[in-house]
Amino acid sequence: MMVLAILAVALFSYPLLAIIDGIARAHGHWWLPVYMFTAWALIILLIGWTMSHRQDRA
Amino acid sequence: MLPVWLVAVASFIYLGTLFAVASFGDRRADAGRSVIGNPVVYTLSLAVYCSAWTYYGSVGVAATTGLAFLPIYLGPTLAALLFPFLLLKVLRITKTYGITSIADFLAARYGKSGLVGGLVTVVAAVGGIPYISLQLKAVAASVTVVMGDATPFAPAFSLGADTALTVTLVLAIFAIFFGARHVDVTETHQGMVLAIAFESVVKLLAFVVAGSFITYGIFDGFGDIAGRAMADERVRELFTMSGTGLSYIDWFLLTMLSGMMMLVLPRQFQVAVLENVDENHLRTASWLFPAYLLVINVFVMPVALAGLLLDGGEEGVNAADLLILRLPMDAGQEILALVTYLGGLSAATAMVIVATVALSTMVSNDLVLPVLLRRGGRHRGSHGDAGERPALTGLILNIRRATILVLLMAGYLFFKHVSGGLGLASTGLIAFAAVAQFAPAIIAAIYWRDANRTGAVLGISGGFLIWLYTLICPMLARAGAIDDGFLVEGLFGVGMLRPEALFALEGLNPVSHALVWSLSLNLLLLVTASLLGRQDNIERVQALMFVEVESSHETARLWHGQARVGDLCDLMIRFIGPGGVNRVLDIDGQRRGRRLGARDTADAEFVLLVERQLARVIGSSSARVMVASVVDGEGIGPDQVMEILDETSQVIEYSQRLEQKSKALEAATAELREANARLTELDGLKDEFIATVSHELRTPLTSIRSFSEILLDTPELPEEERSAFLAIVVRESERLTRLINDVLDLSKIEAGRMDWQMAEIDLREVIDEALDAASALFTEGGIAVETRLRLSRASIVGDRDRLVQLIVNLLANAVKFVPGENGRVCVELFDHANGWYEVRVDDNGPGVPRDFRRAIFEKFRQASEGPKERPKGTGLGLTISRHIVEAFGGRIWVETSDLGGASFRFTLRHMPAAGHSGETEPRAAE
Repeated sequence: MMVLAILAVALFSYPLLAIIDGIARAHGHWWLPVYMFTAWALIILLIGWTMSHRQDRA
Repeated sequence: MLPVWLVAVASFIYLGTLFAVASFGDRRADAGRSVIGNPVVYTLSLAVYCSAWTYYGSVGVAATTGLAFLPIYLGPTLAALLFPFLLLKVLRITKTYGITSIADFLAARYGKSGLVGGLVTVVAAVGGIPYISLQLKAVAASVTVVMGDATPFAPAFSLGADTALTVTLVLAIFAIFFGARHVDVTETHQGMVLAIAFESVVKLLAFVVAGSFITYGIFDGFGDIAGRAMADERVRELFTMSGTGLSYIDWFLLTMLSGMMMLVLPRQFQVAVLENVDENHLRTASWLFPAYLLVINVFVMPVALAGLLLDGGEEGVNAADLLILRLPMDAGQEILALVTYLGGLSAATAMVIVATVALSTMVSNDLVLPVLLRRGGRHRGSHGDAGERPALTGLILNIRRATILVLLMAGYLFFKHVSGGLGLASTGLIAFAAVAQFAPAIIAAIYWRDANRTGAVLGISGGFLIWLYTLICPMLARAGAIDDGFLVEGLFGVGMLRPEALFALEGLNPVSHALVWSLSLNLLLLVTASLLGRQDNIERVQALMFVEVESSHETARLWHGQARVGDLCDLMIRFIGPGGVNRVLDIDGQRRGRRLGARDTADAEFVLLVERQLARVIGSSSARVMVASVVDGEGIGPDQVMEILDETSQVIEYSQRLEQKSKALEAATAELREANARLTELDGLKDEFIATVSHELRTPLTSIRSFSEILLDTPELPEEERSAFLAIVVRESERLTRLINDVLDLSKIEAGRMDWQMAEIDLREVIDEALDAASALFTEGGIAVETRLRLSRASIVGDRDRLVQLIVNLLANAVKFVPGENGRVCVELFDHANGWYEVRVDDNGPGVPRDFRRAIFEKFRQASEGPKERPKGTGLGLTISRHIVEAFGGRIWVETSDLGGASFRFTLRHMPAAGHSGETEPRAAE
């Protein structure tokens, strides 16, 4: 879960978004929103998968 | 343009449907067939997060600052990762102690403090006003748009009066009827939760349908909109990070802020924590809720871009907020526009219902009732006649109804006079920043036992004042309500105190700026005051109960006063009615085995049960006051509390130590058991080994002794027989020597004392050398030898002599088993591409039965059925061969050869690349 949290934060961290933004500017601006929504969906899938394989604890 | 009557009828039908859905949910709950015990319904109720701000405001943000709307939804997605930890713990605390609101949660934790509960209520109510105002603004604007007024916030109103005021009053009446119908004595509002889930479906469908129409009906899909947007330089900029106008800190803070809202926003606390009926629902919600957010946001950018493209690239934020509604209207799709309007109404009403239920509960339980009860207590004395007091449920309901009306009217005034020019999202973020002040106190409440009431009060108050100064005061100043000189010159003319650049911090979004200073001060005060100050006795107990909720500490002993059961029942009946009192007595009766009567003396457990039951209705601090009014004596003194705490701590510590020792003992026992089993096995092997070796030694020794005695005792023996007997003695001596050598080799290998002479060698040369060494055997037996060494060189790292011994063993083994005539042996060398060489020694002997293929590599095991059939040899050759191969990391096994006999095969690793060869060590033999 911790790994997933770090991955999720990293995927939406501003530095990485700035890099993607730079790449998108060169190859079509719409790549940035496409990246964001794809990363978002990926995280949701990973959360779902993780939740189905873990025991809850407070 | 839609006629007024149609909009009004559609709105009232929709609101009536909500009542029907809620009523259905309540009836099912009363019948014991709950419809909210479903993770999907629970997740949909969490989607109350998506209010009119999401429905209308996200498009407005996207049309002006592109992707800046996303942090508001990414934050909750990231926060969902904490559901199984943070939210689960809050949930367990809430269920265990009968918490009724976020204010009650904090009040209970910080010593059942009325001050904390009241403060949290005030902050939540004041912070909630901007949020409510944006719902009113959105609904009023949407009404105006569907009725054809293109200037939604113009002074002229199409309902013949102030549209926003009309909307406010309708929503107030609706919320009062819906949210304050009765005082719930149960833990959940099942009808309300079902209605909220229903609204979540409605707003999602409406938004997706409208977005799909705009994307695929007005334009030719995402590609078409993106393509046209790319052609417009100003619109294209909205796809970039710079287009968001957010700095790195802004992006981070807004994401964090919105993530916090999953816990600290009163309405989210209401649905996520208080209305939860099964903690396992968190598992589903942690991915399904983010998925809901993702879906509802898919069409935000396309709709915003569509609006900009159709309007020539210019949208004011207020006009852009309503694009999802206006574009279908402009396209002449009035029915679709009506559906879209109902979706927006759904988003707004859901928020208003839950927020007002949560806030009105807080106001009644944590603000008004404690004051009234204390005042009443003073007038009547601490043990007033409970039976003479009127039922308080009516009073509670009236307080809640009045609160709802006041909150909605305050929201209306805020919109009318302060936030009218702001976008929906900006207004919402201001509300977020206010309730974010609860976050440090909540986190400390459940993870830090030393956090105290003073720290919580100072932290929340300090943060709230900064919020007022940096966000609300500038708005009031710009609205003309207060003098605006301090905006430029700073408070008291001190430039460093400018509210929008406090201590010269500039360049941030206003909300980020406020958040930095308010949360910093909040944390500083909380930590400092908690470290320097002391907790009182109740605080210490409550802290222990919250932080270690899993341990289920019993707190009943904290009461040592006395009360009559009848008095406590009289007290309860005014809040939970006769049915509720009977239920409490039944619960208590089941625990103690008999039902208490009115004249019985209540013990500490019963007092605690009553207090918790009352807390579900009026909150923990009020419940404490009420129970104290009928219990003789007070909570135990400091010394006794300390004694209990010390005793509890000692018991816990002792228990933990015992548990640790028990676990260590279990592990040690398991290890010992394993070691013992291994020793027993080794002992058996040793006995078997000694017996076998003794037997193998005795056979040749017997032969040698017998023939030597014959030679000694019969000097007249013919020369021919004498020579034959001497040959037998020599052969048996050689066999004895081989056996002893093999035993010594094996013992060295097994003891790990074999001196391996590691060097780079050519496996092909090793095979040639072994063939030379065994050539005499082949010649003697008339055996045809074939070699297939296709490689020019096969470099490995190993002990040359031991590898020669290995291959000679295999060749000698083959020689023993090939037939007397036409015996054939074939040696092959392969290079597998995966970094391994393989050597095969095949023969045309009888082969090895499948059942013996593993056993023949064990000591003294040969592929024969009985001693009479045992072939020649020590029975150790293959065992030694296996150890040699395994020492170099390889594997040896036997299969059926193409020649019809046995095929002994082993693998050895290629020599490692340069630089690694020195690291290669033979694996220690077992």
